[in-house]
Amino acid sequence: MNRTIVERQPGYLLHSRPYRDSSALLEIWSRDHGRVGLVARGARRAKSPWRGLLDNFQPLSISWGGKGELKTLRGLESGPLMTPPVGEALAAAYYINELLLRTCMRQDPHPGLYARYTAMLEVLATDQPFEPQLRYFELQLLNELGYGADFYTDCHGDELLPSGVYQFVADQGAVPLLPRDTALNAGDQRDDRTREPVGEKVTGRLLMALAQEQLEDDQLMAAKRLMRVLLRPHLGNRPLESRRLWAVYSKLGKTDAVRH
Amino acid sequence: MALLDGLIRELQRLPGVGPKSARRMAYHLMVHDRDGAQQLAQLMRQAAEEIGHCELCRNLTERDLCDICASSKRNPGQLCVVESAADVQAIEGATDYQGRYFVLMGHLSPLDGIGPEELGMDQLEQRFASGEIKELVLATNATLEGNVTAQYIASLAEPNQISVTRIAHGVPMGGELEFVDGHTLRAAFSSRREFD
Ligand SMILES: [Zn+2]
Repeated sequence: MNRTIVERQPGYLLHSRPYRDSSALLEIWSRDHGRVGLVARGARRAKSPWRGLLDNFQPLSISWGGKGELKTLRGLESGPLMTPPVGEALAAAYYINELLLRTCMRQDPHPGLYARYTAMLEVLATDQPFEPQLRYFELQLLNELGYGADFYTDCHGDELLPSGVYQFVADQGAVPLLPRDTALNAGDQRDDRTREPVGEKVTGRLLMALAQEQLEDDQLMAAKRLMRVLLRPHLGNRPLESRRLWAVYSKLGKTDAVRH
Repeated sequence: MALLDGLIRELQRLPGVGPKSARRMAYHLMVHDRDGAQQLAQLMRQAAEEIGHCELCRNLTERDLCDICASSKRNPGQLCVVESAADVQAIEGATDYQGRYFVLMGHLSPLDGIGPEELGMDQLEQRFASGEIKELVLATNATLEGNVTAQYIASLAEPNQISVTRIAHGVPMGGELEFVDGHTLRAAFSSRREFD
């Protein structure tokens, strides 16, 4: 691998862990280089100028260099300061970091997804509902990784019918279910909260709403289920840690006494 | 020299010890100080076997209770929550705090699988519920995770009429604003207080 020097690259810290005595191993998410692994020498020393900057979800300007897969951090500056997400939004922010760590290869640029990440953090810093954005983020992630699915035509190349019921099958896409298999028939199970069939079956309407980024409130649950199914094969064997702690974070609202 | 190589390798477990200093230490012990090496080995074994966690505060001790928790001079109504044993030493050395501590041995860290259980929060919750604690000082680190950890502990204390404070974070003494990083400056600015 060639020796690289990257100067003042916009990015975020995805994760850091202690490395050797006083250093840290950083995984960053950068605009032009995607995920990058960096050794931050001496970053955990009391006098390190980087110490106060190694927080997640803050825009950074990052410089690094080096030859191997792991680069060496050479400079770190804070970008425009952002209000960190709190409560459930913080859980969601950790979740997208974990998604990127699990799915993106190092040094694989995804400028479009980077822009989406930045926009996502802006939504998470507010009190606005963020769930639709989270689904679009997941969908774009799959598309950029090359696992995107066709949300406009079914596996036979026919246009999706809004009221049609489909099952998503890996490598095939939306497989239309015969009328007798559909959950739209009387007596079949169906989720009252979402008007969507239960299980891995979805309506054409849902798929189109996802692709056009026009999810309605009553489609959110079904969209979440579908994205979970689509993401599962790409996340490895371990369950996502951020999901385990979601409940803990969700309980925490804004507490003025201890806010950043 | 399998033994000597092994010794040099094992010494590198220690913080701040690289291959060079490990070699120097190993040679020193084997050439100049065999007795010292014996004592070190014996004490190391004993410590590793006998040192556990204080039943009250989770700090390291070889007894059921650490010195601070066992002392009758400490105020049992005050509890200071810190992330590490080193933080206890730092506060003991720098302040005249007379209460007790609770040592989390970490902070909430969602991507590393460290949640409330791993930090002994259930134990902390029981102590809050016992009614003994009147004042809680949250002295976790001034990082995002440290703040969230503090927030979580504050939520556990809330139902028990405990007064909760968070240590202030900001500009270091003798620090010039110009050289303080943006995050620190913002934290200092947002926790500004009445001038007196
Ligand atoms: Zn103790």
